[in-house]
Amino acid sequence: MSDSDGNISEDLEFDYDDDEEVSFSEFTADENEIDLVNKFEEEVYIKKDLKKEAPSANRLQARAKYKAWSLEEYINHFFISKCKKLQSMKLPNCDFDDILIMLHAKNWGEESVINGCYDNPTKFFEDCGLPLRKRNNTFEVVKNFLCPICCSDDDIQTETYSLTCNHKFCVACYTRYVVGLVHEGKLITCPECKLSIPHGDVQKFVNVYNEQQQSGSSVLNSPFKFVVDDASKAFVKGSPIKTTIDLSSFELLKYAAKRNIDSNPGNFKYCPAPDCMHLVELLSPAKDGRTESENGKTMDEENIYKVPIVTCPKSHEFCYSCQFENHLPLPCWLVKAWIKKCNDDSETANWIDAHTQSCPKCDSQIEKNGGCNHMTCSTCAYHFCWICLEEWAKHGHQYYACNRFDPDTVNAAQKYKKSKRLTLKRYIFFYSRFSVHETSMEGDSKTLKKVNEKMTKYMNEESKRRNNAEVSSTNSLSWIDVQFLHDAIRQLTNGRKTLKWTYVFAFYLSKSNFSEIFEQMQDYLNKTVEDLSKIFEEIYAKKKDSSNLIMQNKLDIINLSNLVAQRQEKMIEFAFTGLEQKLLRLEEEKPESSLEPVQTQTQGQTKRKQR
Amino acid sequence: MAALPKRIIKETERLVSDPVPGITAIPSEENLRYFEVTIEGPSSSPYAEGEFKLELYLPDDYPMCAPKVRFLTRIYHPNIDKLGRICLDVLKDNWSPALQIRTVLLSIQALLGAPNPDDPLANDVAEDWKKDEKRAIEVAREWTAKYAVKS
Repeated sequence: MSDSDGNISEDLEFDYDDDEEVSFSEFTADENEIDLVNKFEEEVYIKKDLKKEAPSANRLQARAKYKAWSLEEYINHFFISKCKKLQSMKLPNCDFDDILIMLHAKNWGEESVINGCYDNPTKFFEDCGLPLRKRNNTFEVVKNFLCPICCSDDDIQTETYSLTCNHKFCVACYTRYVVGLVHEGKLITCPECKLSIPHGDVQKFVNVYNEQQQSGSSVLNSPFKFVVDDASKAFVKGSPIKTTIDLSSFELLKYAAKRNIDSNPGNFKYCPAPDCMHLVELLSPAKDGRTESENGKTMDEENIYKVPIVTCPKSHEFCYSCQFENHLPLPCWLVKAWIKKCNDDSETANWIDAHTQSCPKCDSQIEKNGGCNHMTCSTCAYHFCWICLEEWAKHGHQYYACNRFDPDTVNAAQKYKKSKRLTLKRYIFFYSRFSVHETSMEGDSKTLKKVNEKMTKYMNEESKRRNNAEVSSTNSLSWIDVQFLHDAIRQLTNGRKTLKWTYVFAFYLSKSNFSEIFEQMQDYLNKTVEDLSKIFEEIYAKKKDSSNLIMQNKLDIINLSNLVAQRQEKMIEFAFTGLEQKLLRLEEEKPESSLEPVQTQTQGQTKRKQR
Repeated sequence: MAALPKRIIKETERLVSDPVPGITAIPSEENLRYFEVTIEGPSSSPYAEGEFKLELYLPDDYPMCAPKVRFLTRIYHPNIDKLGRICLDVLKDNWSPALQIRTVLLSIQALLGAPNPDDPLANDVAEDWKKDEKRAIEVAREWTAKYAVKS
């Protein structure tokens, strides 16, 4: 990974026509010899065509160097390679399986394995659940076998498994036993004693289980009959793990890796996308996102505005510090504040504050929806004046004319109410825009699916037409030619995502000349995104001949999506430079109490006047 | 109700034909997975002379998971709480399908003989136990005489 922004952005520009993975691996390919090429997946989350945005984002994240790991790579790097290293050291009486068990038992600490092997091998072997004599794990078909677990002694041949201890159980029971424990990620021992089952054998049981699940005859549903099938035949030929087998796909090792990461995360973080098992490791000196968001403002300015956007091996893009989607240009601590604000009912409270008054006697909230100003509290039956909140009796008999009218008090109170209403309106304004884009993003993913269908249809028709016309080149319009559609929709989604967050940004932005520029840019982005969206909508709405419409609009779509990308980039860049040079200022909301003293003060004054 | 697994039938047969000394376990008539259990207090413990009633239930996935056991008789013991729940490794993490009802009940009997106040379930009892073991044993004996009378 390079530090210089120029290089990276250049690479990215040049790579534009290449597959996304190529440029991606350039981001992360330091000392990582393992192939990073991952299968292309279609998800909204995906970062497919963000290259245009990437340079600016990268410039801003210059401090956030990271490496994307798949779980398999993690296993290979932290478990298997250690194992191979120890194997090459020729530890006495140990084969690969033994070393793997030892490492697992000792929490993957090489040192403790080496020490254990040399200091007190007998005790160490016992600790790890390894037999002292040569391992003799057997798989046997026994006649009239009585399994101590299920006690079924059908007069058939039963497949059994046992470790060196020779505690035999039937394969069905062993499978259920192993599958029930594998998710704990710990070594699994013989049900009867402390001997560990080698990882390879654990995987065989898992495979047996999986194949049974697929074939529909669940071990769990018919617990006491084990169907002899091919899976178990493969089991018979059980032999020690060969290193050629893909160890990193072992279920037990996967769970062990998870356990390892959970207990000792270091700089590793899981990708937050649903069902994604991949990891990202932050390489730059840890500026932990957590401390950042917790002490938000007390941290130095530079850090606050750093948003470490990372991409996992499956191309899911997320913010490392808050493990949320890419929320550029908004800094993490405001994302947190915003989400909290949207989730809790602070705005309900604001509404109550703006539209109700509390009874001066019992403090119940009262909303006046009409009628005169002589209020009777329905809770405590207290009579008071809605205007001055004094006891009604003091008004004497001059109803409907509050003789205690004091312009100062009323003004202050009204001002306060007004500001409350304004705050609420402002929030609703930004929130509605934020949520509109959020729902539109969901819509876009649906559109993506629909467009895919339509394009497939179109391609079929096209090829048919060409066939009929007997043109020699049957498929002159290739899939690559329509790839622009996918790219455009992804760009639309990305643009929306940024747009969505700019509204939150604007919500927290204090007013200045630069904030107006910001709003202008937001407007531009908004307009472009909407234009692009409109084209898709038209295509979508048109039932017949929509494929042709797509091709007719090809140029427009490409242009607009490029424009979205550019404006998005400019927007983010402007936001960041603005923050960096302190031209733009973000603030969390002022505590509402700041307004209240004014009111109480004036009230105090009026009281003095009254006296 | 699904047929009773062979394992449970076998175990029940053996519990009846070859009972463990000091322990009885009788399956309920309505539900053969539910056992009424009595355990005699070990002779060298403050629970000696007492007969403790327990209930034991074999969950659907027994023997892949541990039986559920609970004291019905009140008992003053650092690893058994007011509700009769028992803190015992083989009933939790260390369960193995190779264990049986009888081995579990024997473990519970052994727990009566060797209370472990360092890994408590009933915190107040464990504290008393640690502060003044003699007194605690005395209380345990009193409770045994009071609640765990042989019928």
